[in-house]
Amino acid sequence: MFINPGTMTPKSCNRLLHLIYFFLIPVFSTVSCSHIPKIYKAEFTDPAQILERCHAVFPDGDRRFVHSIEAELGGGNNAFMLGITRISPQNRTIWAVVMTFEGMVLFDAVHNDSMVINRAIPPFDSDFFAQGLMKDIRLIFFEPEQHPVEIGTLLSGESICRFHTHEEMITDVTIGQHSHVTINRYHRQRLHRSVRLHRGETQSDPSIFQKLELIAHGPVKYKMELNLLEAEFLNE
Amino acid sequence: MMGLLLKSFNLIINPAKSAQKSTGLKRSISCLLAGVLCAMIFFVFIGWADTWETIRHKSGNIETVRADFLQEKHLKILSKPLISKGSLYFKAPRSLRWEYKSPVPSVLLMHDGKILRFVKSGEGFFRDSGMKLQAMQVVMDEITLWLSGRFQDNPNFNAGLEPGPKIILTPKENTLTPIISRIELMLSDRPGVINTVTIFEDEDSLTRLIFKNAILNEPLNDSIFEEISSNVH
Repeated sequence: MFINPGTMTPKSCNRLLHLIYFFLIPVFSTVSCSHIPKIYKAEFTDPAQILERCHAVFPDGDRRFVHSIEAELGGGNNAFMLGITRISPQNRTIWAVVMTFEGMVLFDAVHNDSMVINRAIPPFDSDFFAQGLMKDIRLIFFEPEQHPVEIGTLLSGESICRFHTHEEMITDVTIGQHSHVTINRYHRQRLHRSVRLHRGETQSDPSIFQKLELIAHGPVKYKMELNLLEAEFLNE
Repeated sequence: MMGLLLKSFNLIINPAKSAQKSTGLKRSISCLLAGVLCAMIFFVFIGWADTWETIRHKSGNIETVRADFLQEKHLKILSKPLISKGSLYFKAPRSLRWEYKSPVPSVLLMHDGKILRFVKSGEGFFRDSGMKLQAMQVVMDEITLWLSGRFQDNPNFNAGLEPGPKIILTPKENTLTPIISRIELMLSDRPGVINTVTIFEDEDSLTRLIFKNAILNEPLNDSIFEEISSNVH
């Protein structure tokens, strides 16, 4: 069916808008709201080996990282800063500092069971921001506490471990080609956060990644790209 | 989650959206940026002095400054300071290029009323639109004040001159105290040049700038303050 704009009446225009609404918008919604993929039984790899590779993604000891952070905020706006993170997987403690290149500390807080904010300069001084930052860091650096509910491969052949982290929350750890890793978190069956981790060519520790990309899906979208400047082992 | 980070940046990017709520915040950030950057810059300028009168006299003769710097960030979370290196260029009355070469190459340009910041990402430089760079205008106002030797008239800091010679700046307003507790400047023996600047945020956090290779009153082309001579995306 072809539409000649020159012959369109207001009524036909409305019909066209309805067509767009009923067909195109759901298409875009389907594309943008990725759902939980099906896991297939691994045919050529022992599930125990897959699980071991999933374990290796996450640091097993205390680490300190310094990253440069680029945040894409939509509308062509980019913001840049430095992030310092000290993590302790054993007691699941995070110490996070966000600062400008000039050295101004905007945010400094420690979180385990509770949050202790050492410094927070507006507009980084809300509890909501602090909690959200810590959740994102936890997703990147801490292995889910629960045992995996499924281990196998995706249709594409990538190895995957699936964790039921909370009620209505699922975390997938996927090991792709060249050991590139993806961590996807789904909330109520919909993709909520995705993290892509890229190892550096010279990096021997499988839990240290040269580049991290975190994408927030859902109503408030943003993208954070973290490039590793320093990594330090603290208790080995 | 990090959604608030987005909102936070939006506060900075688009202050009109939340003007009432963010007025105090913007002022804090402005003061913070102004305080730190002014401190970084003005220490190279005002330099050597035993009295405020001498400072006023010496600083009045400075037209341009070029210097390299090493920045040490000391934090409790760090076992060793985080080191950044770069260069600064200044040309009176209101042109500045503050450039980091490592660990993350970035350039802040202030010239002809425009303030731009570029950060290297991947193969080229990207414009940083996240911070409210208009706050940097405050920096230029401060520099102009100091270049005329009137930094005792500084609206943000009380200035004290101590043997060393050392200048100590303390915030005038309580709103600034949680951000910068004090600033210490160690002056060089060479007139007009500063050796180090230490900005104390609190007991556990300080930024030290060590200046070297300072050149005063060298002709500087305006293009230094207008462009970064690299690919910009």
